[in-house]
Amino acid sequence: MQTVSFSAIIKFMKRTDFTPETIKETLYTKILPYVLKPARYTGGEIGSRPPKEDAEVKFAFTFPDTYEVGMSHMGMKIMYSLLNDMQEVTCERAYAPWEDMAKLMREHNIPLYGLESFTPLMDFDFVGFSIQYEMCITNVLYMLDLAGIPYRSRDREDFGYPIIIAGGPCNVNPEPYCDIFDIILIGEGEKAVPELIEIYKQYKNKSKQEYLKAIMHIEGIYIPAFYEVNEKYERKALVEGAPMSIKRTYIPDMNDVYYPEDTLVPFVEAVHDRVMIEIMRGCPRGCRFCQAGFIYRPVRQKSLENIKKQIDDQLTSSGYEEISLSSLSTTDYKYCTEAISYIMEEYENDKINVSLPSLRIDSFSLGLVNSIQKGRIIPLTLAPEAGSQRMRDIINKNVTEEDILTTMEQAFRNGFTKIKLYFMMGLPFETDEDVIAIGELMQKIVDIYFGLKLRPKDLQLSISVACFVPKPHTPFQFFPQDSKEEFDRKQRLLIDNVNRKVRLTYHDSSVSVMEAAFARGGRELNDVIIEAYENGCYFDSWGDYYKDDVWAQAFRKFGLDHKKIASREFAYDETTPWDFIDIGVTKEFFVREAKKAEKATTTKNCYESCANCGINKEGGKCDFEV
Amino acid sequence: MKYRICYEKKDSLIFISQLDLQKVFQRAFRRTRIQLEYTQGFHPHPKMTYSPPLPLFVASKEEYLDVALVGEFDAQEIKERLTKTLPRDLIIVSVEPVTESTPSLSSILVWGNYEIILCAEDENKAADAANALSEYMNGTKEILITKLNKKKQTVTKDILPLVKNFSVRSNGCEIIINADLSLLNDSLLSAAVFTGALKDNVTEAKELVTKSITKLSAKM
Repeated sequence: MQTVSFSAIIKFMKRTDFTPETIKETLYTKILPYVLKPARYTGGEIGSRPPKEDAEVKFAFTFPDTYEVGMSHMGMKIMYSLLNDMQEVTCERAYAPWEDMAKLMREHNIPLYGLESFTPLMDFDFVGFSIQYEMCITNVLYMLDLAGIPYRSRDREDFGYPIIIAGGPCNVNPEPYCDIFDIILIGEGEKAVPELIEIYKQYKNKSKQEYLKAIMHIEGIYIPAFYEVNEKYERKALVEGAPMSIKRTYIPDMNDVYYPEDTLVPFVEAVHDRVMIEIMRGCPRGCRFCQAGFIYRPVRQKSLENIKKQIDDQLTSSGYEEISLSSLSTTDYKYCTEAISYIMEEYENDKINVSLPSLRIDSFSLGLVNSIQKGRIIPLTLAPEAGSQRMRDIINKNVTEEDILTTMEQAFRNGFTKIKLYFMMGLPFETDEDVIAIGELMQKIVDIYFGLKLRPKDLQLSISVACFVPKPHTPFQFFPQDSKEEFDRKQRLLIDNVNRKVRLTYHDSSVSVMEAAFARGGRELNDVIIEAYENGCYFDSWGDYYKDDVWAQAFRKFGLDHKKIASREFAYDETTPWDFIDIGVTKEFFVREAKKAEKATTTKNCYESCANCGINKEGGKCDFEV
Repeated sequence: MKYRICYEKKDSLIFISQLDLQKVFQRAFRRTRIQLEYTQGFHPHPKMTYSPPLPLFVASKEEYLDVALVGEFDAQEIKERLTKTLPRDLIIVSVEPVTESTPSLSSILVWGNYEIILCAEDENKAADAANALSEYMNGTKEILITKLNKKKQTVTKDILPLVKNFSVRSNGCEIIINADLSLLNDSLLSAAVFTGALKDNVTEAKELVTKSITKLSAKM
């Protein structure tokens, strides 16, 4: 039971009570010998930068999940190097400590600190959180609490506290947690953060209010405190001149995007422990459920020359044994084959493994996987998303059953035995037949396998079925989510209709409902989040740590029901909490796509023909010829 | 060509396990662009042999690694290139070519010389504890510890034969122990286990806090 919050205790202590030296000493003798994986809390990794003590601006990049998750995140690695490359800036990192660590930090009065110099977060100019998914928001509070920083922007009036920023894709609807942050960044940090820092240098000795006014016109910057919102989500500016629509910021040409020459290499294994080369931003496919497919538009590809240089830089500076080419749809990158053969040839002697995420279901993708196999057994992971063709047309997946079955047959013939397929249930307009169709599709795949005279041994076929969450800034944003009861019923229906040879895993439907509430809610959720944290909710994305009853109680306390928010339907002309965020793709386009989904008609991908999503107007530019 | 590398592991690197350390070395070698020799087969792995694994929280001034490299190098060059690519708390002491007459690591590493620093609340308590520890070690005929064997059964073992040249002194609030502990494969004695046994058997040492454990050297 937490009776007094840790920040309340720390507030009464003098700043001089914790110096980097005393923090380090206490950690080494009294804390680290008693925690799991202590190397997560010491810094000093290859690729980490020495702190600049005399830096004009101190920035702490904070990731609201464990070290292993945070160190897997490419965006963090980019921003960390970018900021440290700026002469007047020093950037340190902090991750959410595991609970054993947090307990000892509280016992010994050690505030959360930057890994590079052991400086308390409180003493930084900026603390920037990366909000990657809805359910990590309580970890932001957890980290602020451990740092001794008040939760709400309004309780950090002056420059006595760091400026708290949020970045990350979740910010396309920042309203549920906007009270926490002073600044919310919509879009790409590589562009906006240096601009924020430049102006900060001029305002460092003035007030926070003056600084926020000075930056409110920067593209992608949203200052939540400058607006009032009513229950119909109508907005009013409280500060003269505050923009009523916040435009997402992005860098039009991928070859202008900063990419570090080195990369952080953790001592303890990260979730994604490899060199990650971003080859492309945006996705041309337009699957209607996929938020990433719209909020990162337009499709922007890096030149092959650039990719080769980044591969060389990062492999030689990190010493990593594995590299992945990252994007939302790997095979849609123009020079995909060339990039892979470059690695295979240049690094043949270095025993470098290549991994390719986000593959489409076609023979071309399978050929690529074959080319990187090198005698290893690579699990093949593909995402048909839906079982029936009607359903795949509704979501605009543009994959036919024939594509799936042919690819599977080729996969078996090529010796792939570990195959994992991703599906969703609860998609708009789904019927029981569509759910059963997942089982039928799997049966066809099993039949193909046993129909082959020469088949590889030990088939391991598994499927993972997620509960659909309607996300903001997608054509499905208008539609209600299935109820928990409906999800559970469909899960049972599927279990009864899937061949026993297939290993079936599915998501906890109560977490998915909560996720939908956070994705689709408005400002009313701020109080709920703080209430839930104070009652013990954090690490909510870590299965066992998720406490559905505590969350439900927190909603009730403020007269809200998370189930209602999740299953709310928005009329096409109704205002949503996130309409004021202009990601570049228009609401008219989403309405058009939603109506096409109703009729189960598809839209061609961007490479084939332009669907007028809106990104191309006003300076938006797609770097391919249609 | 095979080389024997002697290295020091200290400060932040004492929090890295032996398994993680192996990755640190492999990646450091890749950064030097010196090629490691790999085993044959579907799952090739580099030919590297380490001295007995150092437990977490123990620093060491003398650890060994035998490594097979593709090609022949000047030992000094390997040292310089590795020094540039290793994390700051992993320090190369020496590099020597391994020839047929070089003894194997397991035959030369028999005893580890450790310095164990414990902390007491004040100077008097430190002096009392040092005296009591000294008396205990001079007088005792055995040091029994119980542990779980591989079949999860509790077994009792006398570790006194695995300890040599014990000395203890106090300095201010600190108690400084120096002792040789066995490094042999089947009778490896960890400094933490030894310290724990001392605390269990000597009343004056019960409340002492372990400040640091450092392996100063390894010898025949």
